[in-house]
Amino acid sequence: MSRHGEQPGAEHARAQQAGVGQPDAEHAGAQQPGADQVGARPAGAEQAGAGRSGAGCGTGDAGAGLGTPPAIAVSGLRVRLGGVLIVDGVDLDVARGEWVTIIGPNGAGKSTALRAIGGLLPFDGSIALDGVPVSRLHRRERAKTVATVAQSPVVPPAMRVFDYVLLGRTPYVPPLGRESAADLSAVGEALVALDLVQFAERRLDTLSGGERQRVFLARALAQGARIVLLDEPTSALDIGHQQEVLELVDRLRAERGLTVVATMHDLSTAGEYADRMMLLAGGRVVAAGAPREVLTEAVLAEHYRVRVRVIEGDRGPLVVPVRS
Amino acid sequence: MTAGLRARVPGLARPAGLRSVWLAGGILAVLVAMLAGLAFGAVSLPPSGVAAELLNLLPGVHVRSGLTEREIAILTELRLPRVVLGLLVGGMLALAGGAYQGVFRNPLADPQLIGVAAGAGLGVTTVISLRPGDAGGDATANLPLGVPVAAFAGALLAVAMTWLLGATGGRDRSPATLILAGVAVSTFLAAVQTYLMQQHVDTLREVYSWLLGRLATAGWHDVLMILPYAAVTGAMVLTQRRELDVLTVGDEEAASLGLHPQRSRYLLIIAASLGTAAAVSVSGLIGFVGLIVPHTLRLLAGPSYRSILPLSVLFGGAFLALADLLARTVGGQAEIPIGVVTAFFGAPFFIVVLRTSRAAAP
Repeated sequence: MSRHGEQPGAEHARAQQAGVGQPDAEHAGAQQPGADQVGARPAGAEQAGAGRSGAGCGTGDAGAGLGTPPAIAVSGLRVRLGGVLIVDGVDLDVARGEWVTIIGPNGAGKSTALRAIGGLLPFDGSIALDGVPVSRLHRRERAKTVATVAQSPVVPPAMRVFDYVLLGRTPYVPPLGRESAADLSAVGEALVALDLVQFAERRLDTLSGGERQRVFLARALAQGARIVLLDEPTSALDIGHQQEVLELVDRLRAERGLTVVATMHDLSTAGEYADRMMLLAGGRVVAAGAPREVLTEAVLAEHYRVRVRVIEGDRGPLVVPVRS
Repeated sequence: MTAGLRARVPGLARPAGLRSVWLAGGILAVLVAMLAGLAFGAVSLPPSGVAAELLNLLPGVHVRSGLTEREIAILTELRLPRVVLGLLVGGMLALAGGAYQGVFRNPLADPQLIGVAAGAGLGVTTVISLRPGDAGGDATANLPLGVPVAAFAGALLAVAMTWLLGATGGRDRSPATLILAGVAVSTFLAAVQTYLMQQHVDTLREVYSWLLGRLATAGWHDVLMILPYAAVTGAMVLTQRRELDVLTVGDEEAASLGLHPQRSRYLLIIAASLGTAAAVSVSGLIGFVGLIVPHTLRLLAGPSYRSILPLSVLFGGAFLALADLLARTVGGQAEIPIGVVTAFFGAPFFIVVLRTSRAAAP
């Protein structure tokens, strides 16, 4: 990764980390070279920001130190799908090692925003991963930087778990080459980390929902990306397996300094695992901050049109819907 | 790390791919089909003599085969080119079928289904029908060298039409809309072809015999004509076999893994269409090979395209060479069109495979 932080670029990056709001017009065209100068990534800084020191509240804290760009810097994000504006001006900075969960009612644009961050949808605005604009990353580089677990990943018929996880090494396999020993051992390691060794030879389509979710995570882990995007990772699971999967993600995040952005529907669970939350409604950010700030009876009543009671739990607020 | 894992779980750290057992089986099938195709026919030749003569073709080898001059001539001038042509055409059709099945993520995709064969057929019909002079020439005459080019142009035209039609639903071309578009394009091109045939009744017999599928005894001419196309197609498709495995998770996930799904798809479709066009141009429309061979291999040898594609070349070739043997021996004097043989054996076989392995079918 080259340094392309000249003076103006570095200033721009610092301004972003300091949370200085930029006029929207400047960010409206991410594809323009001028707006892309956020990319000042000091060499050797990759691991530096992995700590969770900066993971407090408010977007302003993103980026642990001045020299370290945030893992994800999104500003003025607008996404259209089939001519309809789905995401309408989202700003989000995520520090390295941080866990941010996007919540919101159905159709709020959560998944769309996540797919855009993963580089899978065309967008307006700017998205930088580790300080590099996503539009400037080559596909393979992008895949080494960010791994996405889709909401309901395609399960290829008859494919073995081992081969499925091996697909995660695609960005490392040269166009005409084959997997190296390093690729195979990365797969082995991912299988061990997610306790899947006994399933390696099994067909993926014969596994249960919870086991499959672990395999999907293993593929993302084998991808070796430091940013992991999870689109409703628990929606297909019972509460026991929900907790198991989220604990696994949290443990891997701590061990490997992963940055996690997830979308979730279960608000209590979401609040227990997230450092910060962002509530989307109609494609706009309507609340953001620590779970305690977002998960309030007033905010949820307004945007979910539901009556809830928020109870103080050990690890965060617990949201209980009550019949009105 | 990996060594420890391998000790605990036998077979782990071995990616799906071409197993040597299957590779050996494929080569064996080709050899058996070759020997049978060379030994049997209007005149039976001893298989040992045939094997000896085959060895003699290798540089620096001289074995006494015990065959007469005339038998050697039958072997090398008549049967060998025909058997080699069968291997090439069968291998191309099966390889193209396997590639289409992967590209469209549909186990029923084959050159016939997405309009490519119809396009190639129209191209050839046009060339034969509009050829000046030589009207009503017999079906075994050498095909003009322009035929593969016309077939390829027709095939690409069909692919382009299918591609454009399949896109009208929106930005995304889903596998299902592409196949629907392919059916529409096939029907349309077949109509044009029928019209052309109707307008040029003098060449009807020639076109018709070609349409039914045949491995004409055109000596080495046809083999040399399609060899370059086969080489290009083989190289292009086989180098993309890992990409096809990645494409099984769908375009968006493939893109998130760093692939360029649309580009891989373009490349594979063009390569497979080239192979189909070359095969169609010398042998007519031979159905079912592109469908059943890769599909059967998927069910038996595993779902990875890294094994399906190379094995398709071997088993597809062997299958067609054997089908041709039946086509020219079963009917006595009159040869049965090879398309009839492949459909006659292919269809029931396909149904059996489908029924016995429904659980494994994609």
